[in-house]
Amino acid sequence: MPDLPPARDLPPGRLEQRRAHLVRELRGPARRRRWAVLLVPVALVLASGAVAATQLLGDEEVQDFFAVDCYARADLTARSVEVRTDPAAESGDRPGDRSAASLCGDAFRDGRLGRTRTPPQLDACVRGAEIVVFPGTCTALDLRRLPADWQGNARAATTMLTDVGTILQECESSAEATRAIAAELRERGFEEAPEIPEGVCGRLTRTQAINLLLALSVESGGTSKPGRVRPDRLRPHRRRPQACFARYGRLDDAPPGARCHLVPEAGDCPTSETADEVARGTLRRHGERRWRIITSPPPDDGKPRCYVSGTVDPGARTITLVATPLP
Amino acid sequence: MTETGLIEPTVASTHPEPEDFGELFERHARAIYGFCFRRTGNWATAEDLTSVVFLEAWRKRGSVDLVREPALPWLLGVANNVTRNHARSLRRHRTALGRVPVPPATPDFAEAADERLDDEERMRSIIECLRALPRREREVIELCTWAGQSYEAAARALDVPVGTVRSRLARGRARLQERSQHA
Repeated sequence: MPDLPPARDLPPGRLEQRRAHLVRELRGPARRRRWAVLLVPVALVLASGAVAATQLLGDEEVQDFFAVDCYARADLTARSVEVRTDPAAESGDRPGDRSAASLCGDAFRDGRLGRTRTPPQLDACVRGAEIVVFPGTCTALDLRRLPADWQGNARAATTMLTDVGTILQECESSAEATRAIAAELRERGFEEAPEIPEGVCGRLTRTQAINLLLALSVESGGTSKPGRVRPDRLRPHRRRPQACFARYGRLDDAPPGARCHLVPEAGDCPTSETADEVARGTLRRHGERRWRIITSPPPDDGKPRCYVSGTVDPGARTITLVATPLP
Repeated sequence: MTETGLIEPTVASTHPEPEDFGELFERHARAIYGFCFRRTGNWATAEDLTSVVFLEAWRKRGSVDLVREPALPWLLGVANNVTRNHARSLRRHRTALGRVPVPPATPDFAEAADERLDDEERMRSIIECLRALPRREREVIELCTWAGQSYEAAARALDVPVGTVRSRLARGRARLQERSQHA
């Protein structure tokens, strides 16, 4: 084996430069975080316009909502590997729907986390904008647990950001972009949308467009990167079921798969036992007959759910009532 | 510098400020730079990784008592994790590294460029030889033999008992010796 090369200093001038850079970076996040403020359902104006927007934008990769860090021990300095679930992969009847803990279980079984091939009891937690999985429990490390619906929420957020990001790339004025994005979000059930600052339309790469939307739409959650979303904040924004009769006149004219509101009063919460009767009452009032009503079984998690809306299939003349969790 | 000499008033606070980390950087950058180079065989990558080690250390500062514990073994522990998958570490901090200013023109350094290229070539062949060892043994050799850390400091860096460091080091050396005899 050859001799070990001698120890060397950083090239001249670089120590000072790197030191200054480090101190700047460590001071920086709090200053930048100021811009990374709240929430898709809450309308937001980035008051300082394009200048501030460009400060927020990086060509850094868009946050990967599906990445998970698996640790060998309940210790943040322990050996770790990054795994990722493929949201498009088929697994049973739901695409890519594996829990973060089960993904890390594979890493143990493959030997990527040491000799222990039998996965211990694992808990998936949220640490800043990252999903981390440890043997033991999140509470032992003073972290919050990852919500069970993370995968679905991550998929919804990814699709929404990609679609709306396209508008930002192709728009010609901020007013046009604000209108188009608001319409797109309304279509998806959001009541409010961000206001797009001047000077960004048509000048953004896809990555920048998505990062801008993230920055305009989410809370930074205490992470050092603006626009990074905490996985437990990736809540699906409650869809407002479309008022089918107001929109389409007749259910026969609704497109297949339209989700229709079937509860007469706001705040009503039909259960699986009463849903059929409530839905039939609504249909009768609108002169709709000969529709078959199917009540989809609720997930077996014991949580109370309401049946406020259904998915319409005009061809088969069926409405499938869908269980939604109580607010 | 002795280990106790590393505990200096600049970081003698349970809540260090960015400037304290600047001081820590000045004191230990050379050691971390050398460690990262020996892991990667590339000086430029080692320079970026040195920055990443301190950025990561800042993030983890709550996990160490810099008043009572010497900083270098802890920093080497962070460096050990950062360099295990250095591509991922660099990717994570790509934005921050993108803000490092362009290096100033340095004629003196240009003269040393050949030496540095030789270093890299030599280091890469050493890394290749060392790949034959299990990672745990490789890590103690890197810390104790190359970085000159005591058994206690290496144990702290790797978060294992001192006895484990001794046995891994003995096994690693024996294995290397055996290989050199067969070569």
